[in-house]
Amino acid sequence: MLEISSHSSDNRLVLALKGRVDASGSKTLEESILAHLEQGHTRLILDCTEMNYISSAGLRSFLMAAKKIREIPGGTLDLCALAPAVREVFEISGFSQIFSIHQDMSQFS
Amino acid sequence: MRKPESITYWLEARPPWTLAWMVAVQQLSFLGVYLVLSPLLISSLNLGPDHFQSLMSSTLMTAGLGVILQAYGGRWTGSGYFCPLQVTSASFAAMSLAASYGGMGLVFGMMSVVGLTQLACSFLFRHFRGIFSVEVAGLSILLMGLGMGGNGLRMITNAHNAMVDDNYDMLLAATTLTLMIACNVWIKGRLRLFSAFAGMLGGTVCSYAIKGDWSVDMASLTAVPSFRMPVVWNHTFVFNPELIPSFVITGLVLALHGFGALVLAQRFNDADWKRPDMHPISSGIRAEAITNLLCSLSQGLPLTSSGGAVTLGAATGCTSRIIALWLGGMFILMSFIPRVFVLWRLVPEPVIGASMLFLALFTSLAGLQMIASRLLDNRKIIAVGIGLITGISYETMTEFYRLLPPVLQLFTLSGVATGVTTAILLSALFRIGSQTRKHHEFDLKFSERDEILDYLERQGSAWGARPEVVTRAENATWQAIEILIDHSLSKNDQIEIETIYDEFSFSVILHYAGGALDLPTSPPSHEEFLNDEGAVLTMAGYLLRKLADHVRSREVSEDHAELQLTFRD
Repeated sequence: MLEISSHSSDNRLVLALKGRVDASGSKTLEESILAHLEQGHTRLILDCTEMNYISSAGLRSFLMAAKKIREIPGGTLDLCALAPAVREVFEISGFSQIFSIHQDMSQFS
Repeated sequence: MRKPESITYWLEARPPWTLAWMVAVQQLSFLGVYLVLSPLLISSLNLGPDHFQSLMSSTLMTAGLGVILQAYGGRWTGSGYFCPLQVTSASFAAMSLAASYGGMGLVFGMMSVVGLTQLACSFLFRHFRGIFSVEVAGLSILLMGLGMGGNGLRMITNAHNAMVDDNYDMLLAATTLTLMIACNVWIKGRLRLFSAFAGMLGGTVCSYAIKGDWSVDMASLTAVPSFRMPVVWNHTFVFNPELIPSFVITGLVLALHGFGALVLAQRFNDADWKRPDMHPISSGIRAEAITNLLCSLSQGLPLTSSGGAVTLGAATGCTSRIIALWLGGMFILMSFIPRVFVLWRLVPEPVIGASMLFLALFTSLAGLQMIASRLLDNRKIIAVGIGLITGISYETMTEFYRLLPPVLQLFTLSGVATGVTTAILLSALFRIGSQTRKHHEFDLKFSERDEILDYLERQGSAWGARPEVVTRAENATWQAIEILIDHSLSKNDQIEIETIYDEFSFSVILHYAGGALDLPTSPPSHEEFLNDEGAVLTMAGYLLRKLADHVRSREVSEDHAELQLTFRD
């Protein structure tokens, strides 16, 4: 189960993810990001403070989002505050090299 | 095994000799206090000055041999750690009993039973690893620290120091403690290595500065010879079968005490420490056993590994084994110099008390950390909790323990002995019926993710696994279940989860109806991952291979496969 809430900060849209990005959570995430891109939000921050699990399907939705945003001029995607278990999955899969990952949200507040 | 940042000179490091001998002197000044004060406490032995000197010489000689044996004894004897030996009050009750039955000949004769019991324990402990667990080791260290701290405070507050007015006791203790803390916390460099010694020296100098008149102490110092060949009393060794239980229990208590101190040495010397390594611990207890057999033969006091001295080494940043040679040599040398015994007796009680308090801080916190490093289920909480409470309450309930039946009194000679014995007995009791292998079948139509994770967490707690290991197991297991279901690799919704725990690992085996899961050694490319739905499965298999420390996937029969995920604890 994944819950997503959004708010603006420093001219960017912050999506706070709460719960698990598993097979069903990845669909929710993909739909949410696509909806925000269609609304013209091209600079996104994913706040992962309360995201406690990610599966391979979840990784795919992150990769999908990154691809879509990079196709948009000036589009950016930043990830913040990954839990150690989630960070480990990013490291193992090599995703930590393709995403801009920040320790916490402090630099965007 | 990784060097902790706080240690300057680690196990195999060779500090310059100019430092090494000073570190050994610091240890000597701490341990010597125990050695000299202990026989004074055994009032029932009624020792004359000559006998006192002989007892001290023999004890120092064997303590010197013991510390070297402990550090360099080889594979079978000696832990390989710098773990000095000290006299402990745990042996006084049995010794006093033997002295009242048949004099010192019986005391020294029966002391061989202590050594033989420790020898037996060194073999037995290895076979009961489940009982001598991390939390029991942590409890014994915590109680050792609390006992040391309590004794230190008592020495400070109850001291009737003949040298200075009672009002100065607190001042002396405060001076000692402040110097130790200042050198340890704020001063960088080599002085930190001598923080305990600096405090003791400062406190003693302060005491003499206040007192002004040294003539009485000088007289007591010059009254004893400056050189004397160590002499064995020549008591005939006597044995009394009636006293065997008392001395067996003393041996058991000393072995437990040694177990705690040796675990502490392992803990302080390894930044990645996870659990007691029983092989060096058993060898270390054997070194103690041999030392105590030598003590019996040479007619000295029984010895056990000193948690305080181990802490002193760690707190000041020097745990090098080479110090054992220096300290051992000094002990042996001093067994020829009776004047040194008197010097030790001149260190004021509040100074000793403050030193014990300082070292107790490190010891008790190390014990607490060890207990907290494990997930504890209710059985473990009860075993460790009751052990802790009985151990702590010992000092306030001495009357109660004195009224216990004689057999039980033998197990309750000190707070450490009482607490650890209780925890060990309860741990052994709770192991009845507990299994290291469990099966549970889940119907994924009705089972929620949290139900499966709760099950894994319950197993982890029951076996005392580390929380981070259980979390890793939970994440990987759910990753596996998700792909088995989402990619229809399991032909139905029934999955049996088997959990296996041993001292070193936590394994989860998923049994399901279907084929073996592929576990590729490399992840899919980003392009493949985006364009090919099946690449999610490839990535999942790759993640499982990497998330677990060991993974095995196989088809057991035509319609039954299993996936084993093993996590090192």
